Amino acid sequence: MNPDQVIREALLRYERPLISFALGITGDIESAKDAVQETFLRLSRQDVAAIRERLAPWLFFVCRNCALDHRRKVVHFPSTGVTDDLPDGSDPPDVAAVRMEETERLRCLVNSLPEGQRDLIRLKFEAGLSYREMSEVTRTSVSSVGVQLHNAMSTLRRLWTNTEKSPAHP
Amino acid sequence: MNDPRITSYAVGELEAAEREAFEKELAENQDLATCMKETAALCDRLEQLVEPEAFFSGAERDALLSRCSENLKVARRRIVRRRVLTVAALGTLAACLVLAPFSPLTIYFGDRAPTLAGGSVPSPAPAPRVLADKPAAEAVREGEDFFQAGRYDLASKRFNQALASDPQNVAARRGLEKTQVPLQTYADASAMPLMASAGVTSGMPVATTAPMPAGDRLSRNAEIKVFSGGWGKGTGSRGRFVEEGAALPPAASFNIEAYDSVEPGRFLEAKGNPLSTFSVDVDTASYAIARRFIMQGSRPPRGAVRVEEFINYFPYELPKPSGNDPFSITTDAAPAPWNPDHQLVRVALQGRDLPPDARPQSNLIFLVDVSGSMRAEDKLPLLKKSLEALIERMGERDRIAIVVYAGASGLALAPTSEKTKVLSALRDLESGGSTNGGEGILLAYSTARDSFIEGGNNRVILCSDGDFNVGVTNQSELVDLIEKERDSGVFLSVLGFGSGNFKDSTMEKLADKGNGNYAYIDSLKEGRKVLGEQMAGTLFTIAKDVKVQVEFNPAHVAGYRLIGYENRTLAKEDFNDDKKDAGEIGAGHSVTAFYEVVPADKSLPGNGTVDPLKYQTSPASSAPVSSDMLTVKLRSKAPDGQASSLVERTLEADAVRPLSETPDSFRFAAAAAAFAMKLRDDPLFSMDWDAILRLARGALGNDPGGHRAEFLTLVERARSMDSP
Repeated sequence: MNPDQVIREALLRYERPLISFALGITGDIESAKDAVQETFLRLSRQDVAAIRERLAPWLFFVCRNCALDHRRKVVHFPSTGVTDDLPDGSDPPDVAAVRMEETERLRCLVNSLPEGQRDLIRLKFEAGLSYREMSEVTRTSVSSVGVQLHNAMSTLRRLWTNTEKSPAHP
Repeated sequence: MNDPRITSYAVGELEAAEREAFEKELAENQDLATCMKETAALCDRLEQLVEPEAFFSGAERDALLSRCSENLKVARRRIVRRRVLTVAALGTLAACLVLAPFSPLTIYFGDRAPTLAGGSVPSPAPAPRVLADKPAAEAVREGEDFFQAGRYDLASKRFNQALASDPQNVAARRGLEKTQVPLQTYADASAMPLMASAGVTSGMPVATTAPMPAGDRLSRNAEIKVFSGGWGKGTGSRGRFVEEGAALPPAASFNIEAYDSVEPGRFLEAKGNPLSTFSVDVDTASYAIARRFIMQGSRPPRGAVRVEEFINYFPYELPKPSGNDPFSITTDAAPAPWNPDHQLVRVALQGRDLPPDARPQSNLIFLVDVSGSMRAEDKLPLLKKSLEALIERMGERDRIAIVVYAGASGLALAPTSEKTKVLSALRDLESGGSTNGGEGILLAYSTARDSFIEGGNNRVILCSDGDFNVGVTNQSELVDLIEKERDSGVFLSVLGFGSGNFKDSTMEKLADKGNGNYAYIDSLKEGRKVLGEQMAGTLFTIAKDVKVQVEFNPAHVAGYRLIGYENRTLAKEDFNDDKKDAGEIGAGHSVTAFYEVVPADKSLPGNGTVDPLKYQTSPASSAPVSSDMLTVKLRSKAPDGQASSLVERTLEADAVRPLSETPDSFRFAAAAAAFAMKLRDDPLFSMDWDAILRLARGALGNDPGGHRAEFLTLVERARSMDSP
């Protein structure tokens, strides 16, 4: 496959996950798209054949940096994440979430996760990366990815059941 | 249930053996099984979770792919080159090892090596990793990369390292040489860290077109396009090294704004050079650009400071033109505030104002850059608001069209007189894509010609950051294109926006060649000044190709220098040549030029001495000495005229007044000139900040719009930056 095709396929496959991954970092869609464009432009300046083997982690790692650059520029304040030590049974962080459609509710919850965990959720479920690839993107160990992702999942699961059980507001 | 295996199992990340074990536990532990079920359900939901807007439009995707394949073409060439280098370097290395097996070898750890090796600092006695760790070719390649990334300092370091390990390395030597050029020309642009600290440039695209030597620029054209990318609103400063995980110094950011360098004028001897000729310039952009830099806490690059634009930024109270004259001419002189031995001669033109009911019908084409690089808040959004100010002032009969350009250009709004339509079309503009300025300019001009109003004000208003990166990107080609269109009777106004990748040099040249004016809009206030307060001046030309020629009388003048207008000087023959393009004056515009004159009894500073000429007859003895110090001649054409008319004024040698008796307009303009020269480190100029402030403060006058008061603030800020 020539580099042109590699890039074309990569865009086809990862466009959405990359943009939404970047969106999680930048907080606005335009910067997220910019970051992804920049990622692909950088890819096109690389020896594509050499990267091809580890293309997915490469893309997400570079995309993450681009998105962080954007965020640094824009002085964007990330929403304060939900911490793990939130006691069970306390009020859900976002009461409004209850009233939302299920998907919207879930998206909201994902966004309320601490940044690192949220990134992992996106990398796993939207981009479909393996733990190994995720560890390359986040520059952490594979086992740390496993633990962090599990923490994220536990928090999500708890919030999900909580918001589900809470009575809908009038 | 704090067992990571739950998640790992749900997403299929457990090894076969672990999985079996875990499944056994699941069968036995009811809680674990419930938890597992919930997790699996959540996984399903998460997999279906997609961000609704997280995709490109077809056009964005196509533009991106085409830029990528352009890059690939460039990269392919580079990779080939790199491989050749590596082979050569391996040869050299082998030779080294054979020839000097026991001599102390330079052990090289590039500043990235420790980071790559896991962030550890090499131990006091590192294992001899020898040259192979970083062969010359590697260093050269990195040097090249740094060079292209605009990091000339690091590039030169790499090339030096390559030379240290392989003194014969031609590529390294050549690299080092080419690095020196930008390092020197951009010595003051190493004020870049300054800019970076001001946050102007943090995370700006790498690479710079400005400091490349001309020859290089051509050969690298393709790569320039790549690097100064229009999307590059947030290109990381780490450039191509990001993916290697290597930490470059975080402070390193770049500015790829392009400013031409300008040599301050020198003193010329009146005997050998009695004539000084220049084209007027009503641009004001340079002042606004410098203001942006200063307000952000850094000194503007010298090339961005054009003295005449500082002077002409301010409105002055000058005598109104009488009768049908397009402008009035004022000449006066006083001792120079920065050097009492010298005289400061002012030539000031005041253009006729056009009351709203006397304004010709307008046919305006807004040519709006909507490329990705325009997305920033100080670009397209500011542009929209500024143009709104203009649209509100338009008359019923005026027509406006909008042409947008990005990767492709198109007519966003056909010429119309309905303001609401224009406003809504303007508000709908969105940015995205690369910048094909050339194509947009062609379309704008052809739209202007199609809707041409005879005797009216036909004008293209180009709004951009000047970062044309697709299609015709070469400055001279763009200028050619504009020059061709000039004869169609369509004028051009250039409005510059934004920071970071702003191409001042391109913009100024376009306006200069396109019968136009050029303003830089850094804030809504400035937008309102240019398109509101002074809209008539921006839009209605009352005289074009305005040239000034001054003849100095050597009997009273030893020498002189024109302050500012360095890139507007003309050959003396051009003055009477109506084919030579020159500057335009808009309604109500004023133009002020200063000469610093050295009286006949003083010696010229700053010039090397030239031996006296042997064969020139001295005219002094033959004719009675004229009492004139100088004669000012002015040529100009009516906006639609082809032939110029000539006006002359003389200034008597004894007309020099004390500075305190000059009008405010004289002294304030002198202060503006002094400020600009100070910012530019003009070697023939010396005046301290306080003196400039005093001069300006004493000449504030009415100050409509508060521009002069703002000037004081600016000087004060510059002073505080100068003396930390």
